[in-house]
Amino acid sequence: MNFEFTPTRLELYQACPRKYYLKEVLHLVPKAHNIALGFGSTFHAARAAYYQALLDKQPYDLAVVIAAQTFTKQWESLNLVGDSKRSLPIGLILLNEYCKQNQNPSYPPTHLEVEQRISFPNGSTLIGHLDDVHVGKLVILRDCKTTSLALTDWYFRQYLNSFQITAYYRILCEIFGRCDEVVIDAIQTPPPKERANACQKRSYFRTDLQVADWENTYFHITDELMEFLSTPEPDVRNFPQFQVSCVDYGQCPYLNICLNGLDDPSVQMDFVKEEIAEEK
Amino acid sequence: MNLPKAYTLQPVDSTNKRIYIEDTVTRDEKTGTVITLLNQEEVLVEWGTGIPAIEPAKTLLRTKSMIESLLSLKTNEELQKILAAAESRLAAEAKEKKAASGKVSLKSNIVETEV
Repeated sequence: MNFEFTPTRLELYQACPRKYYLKEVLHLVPKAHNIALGFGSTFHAARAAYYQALLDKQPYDLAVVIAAQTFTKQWESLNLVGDSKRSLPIGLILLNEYCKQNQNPSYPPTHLEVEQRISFPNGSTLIGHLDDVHVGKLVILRDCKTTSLALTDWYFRQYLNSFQITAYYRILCEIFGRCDEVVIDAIQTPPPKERANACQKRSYFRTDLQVADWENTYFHITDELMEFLSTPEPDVRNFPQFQVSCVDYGQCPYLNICLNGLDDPSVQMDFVKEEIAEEK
Repeated sequence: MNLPKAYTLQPVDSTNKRIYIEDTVTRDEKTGTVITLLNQEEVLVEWGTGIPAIEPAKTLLRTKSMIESLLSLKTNEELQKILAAAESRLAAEAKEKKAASGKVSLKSNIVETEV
């Protein structure tokens, strides 16, 4: 059996194994999360198109137009109305501000939107989707985050020891032998009155002890998960509820299922069963 | 906690769908969502999930024209003009929203005083 994991999925398992079971084993996905996810992926695509145009030696003015059109096309294809925080005009205003601030990046990306797979001795594979990487005298990883939170020190603190970011760092160390810096390229939506504050960056480093501890966590989780997932019908009792996560963001969208089981009407009303590649 | 046999779910994206209003009533066959143009200002959206909501018609129509101009634009100057218009529209909407919420709070204050 092939066990492939992304850092986001492993973080989900760490947060609440039951939530992992409902989302990753039963493939139940809440409908309400489509806007934030759609907006984030649209911004990522537009940002990548902007940097690709600069890499192709296109003038700045044309690169901005290409990025705006990419955003429009992708948003249009998702066919979402949006909300007060995420919509077509808001996305374009943010994108325009982002491009303005990144006309001449000091360390331009050499690799954009790449997916890397690293195999580990326990038989697991870690998949990392890297937004952009600069490989030159320095190896720099940049990860773009769109958020509705204010870009304060408190916001950036969450990446100081983030499992996901250390996973990406570990992947680059495996490929290039080192990673000198990890940059969080954060975008606040809707943009604050002072537009320049909508796009901010923070740099992070990883210590050897931090990476060793990350590996310890990674093996601990993946060994356990591989054991539980190796049966055709994984036993739900191996995926206990972590009740401290029930109140995250107001309330966990899966809470009604946990309280009343899969016969709860919310399963039909608020969730979709995500199709997985093998079933298509 | 196994799935019941008759376990069927609706297709993805049956919420928050954008449907353009070409006629008075539009129906999206895929999701079952029906949009009825009530007047020039509002539309009644009956989502495929069966939950009706009244949405501002102008927003839907405006989005369509914005997408058309964005996809056909050639220069950054044209883009900046579209963005400037969008900026002022968002600012006006925020002002309207603020004014509306101000009225509510004033009203609630009066009620409290009367009580």
